[in-house]
Amino acid sequence: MTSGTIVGVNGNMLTVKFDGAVSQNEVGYALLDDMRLMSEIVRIRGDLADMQVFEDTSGLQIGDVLEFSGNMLSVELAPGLLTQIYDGLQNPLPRLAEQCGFFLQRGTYLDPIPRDTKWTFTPKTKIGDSVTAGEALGSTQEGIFEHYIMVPFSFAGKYTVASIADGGDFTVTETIATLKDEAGNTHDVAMLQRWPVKVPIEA
Amino acid sequence: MTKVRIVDTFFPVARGGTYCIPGPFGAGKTVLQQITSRNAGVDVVVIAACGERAGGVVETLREFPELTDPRTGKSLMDRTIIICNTSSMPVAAREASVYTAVTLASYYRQMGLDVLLLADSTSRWAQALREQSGRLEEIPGEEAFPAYLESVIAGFYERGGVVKLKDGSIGSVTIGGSVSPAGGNFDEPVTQATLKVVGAFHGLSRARSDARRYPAIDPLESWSKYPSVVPDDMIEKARELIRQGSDVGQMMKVVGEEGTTIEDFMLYLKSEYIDAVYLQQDAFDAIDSSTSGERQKYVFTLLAEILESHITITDKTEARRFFHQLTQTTKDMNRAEMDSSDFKELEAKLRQQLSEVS
Repeated sequence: MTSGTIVGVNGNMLTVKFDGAVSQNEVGYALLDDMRLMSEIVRIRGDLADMQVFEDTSGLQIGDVLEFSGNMLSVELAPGLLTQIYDGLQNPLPRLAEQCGFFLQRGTYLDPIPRDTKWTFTPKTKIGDSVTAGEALGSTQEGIFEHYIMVPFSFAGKYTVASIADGGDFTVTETIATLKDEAGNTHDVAMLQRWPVKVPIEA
Repeated sequence: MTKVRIVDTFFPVARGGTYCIPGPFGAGKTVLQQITSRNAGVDVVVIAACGERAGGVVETLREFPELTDPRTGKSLMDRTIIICNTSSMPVAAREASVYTAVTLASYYRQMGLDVLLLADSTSRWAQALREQSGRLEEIPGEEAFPAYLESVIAGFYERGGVVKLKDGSIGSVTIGGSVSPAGGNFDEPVTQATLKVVGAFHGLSRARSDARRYPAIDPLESWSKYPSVVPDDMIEKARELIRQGSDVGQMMKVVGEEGTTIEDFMLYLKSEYIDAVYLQQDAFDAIDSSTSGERQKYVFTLLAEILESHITITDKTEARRFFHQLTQTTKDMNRAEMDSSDFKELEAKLRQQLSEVS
């Protein structure tokens, strides 16, 4: 994992000297005591990255360590989104309030989609079917809508369904299907997928 | 389709389209938003409360679960996602919040659903961009907003639209962004950049909301590029009448009622009449607050007929009294179910009142 050290703090903007590879809009966490403050790269120049921190930055010092995550700022997409109340980073506010009280603590991030809820999955494809990104593998009922479980939008090219669950109750992170790509590698697919927010979905 | 008469008839928004509501504070943006989310012909509503005062957001959070969904009879919250980032929360997360909202909206679009995204307010979002740009020591553009403000705003609205999916079904994301220009000045960069890319503009006016005319959408300043439920030439005629009526109204403030000719006075009364019975809508009346497209077409044709008929009254007091009666009858009609006998009776009464004077 790439890491860096803070060489400048200006309001919520950090300048970080890094070693290794980072990319624009990548998420990093500044370590402060036992807190991890989420931040995003907004500009890279040479071996310096400018990062905006999504939290109050008081207390951060020159020389503090920042860990890069390797992922762009993403949201979780899965059944269970409806009826939720989120903040701008998809933290569920009511559950956050249960944990921290009325004053939100910085550096606290919770799973946007509850991990323990089970959804009834009904397959729409069978073993051997050829699928591409965005095609429905199956569905589940979310409120009044039929929520399609799709091949993750990030899967480029053609895939063959290698196995698929017969239906039944699953949590959003349990594997419901495995897909084989053209090179023969298999990928597990769960109901939950992630997508970087600054890239439009094209599938 | 929002079932708000002034929107659907005069300034419609197509599914998958984009529109912008600039409004000074207290002009009724929130109420309009609630009504739209409840009645709009969409499946999922995503609300991005971005940089608004915490009090305002709390109001939304408290009221939304209590609104009933006319489609299911359950809470509207069941098909809503709220993303909130109040003015007291860190600024950087505000920049992310509109993108989070639009990504969630597109996710549901991929399932072939129609999604409405209400972003309130994009001005606060632009302010977050400005703050970030300033810290990066970039060369500032107009009013210190970053020089790339326009392309960022355009990029956001371009994520709306209708898509045809691989299985042939169609999904859409409609984006409604509200703008809160400082001091009600529509010439500032955020409003201007937004106007260039949206398909409809619902200008809320302080004067109208102060006069307790709901919805406070200004009939003269607003526009839309989308097709309406009634033919264009009829809309044009009605807008012309409202424009003339407002001119006469202005003039009357100077020269008084005595100095106005009866023809001009009649124009004024007609425009006030259409304002009172068609542009304004009772948000608290179950029937009046949501008018179907079919009904709008029917009632609007009827009103056009009334407005075009030649009225022979020559006395101003008499004319005023006549329009008062007409307004009352039409308002009662608005509150009646369309197929009910009450509606038919009131329509007949309206025609009779009209025939007495023409």
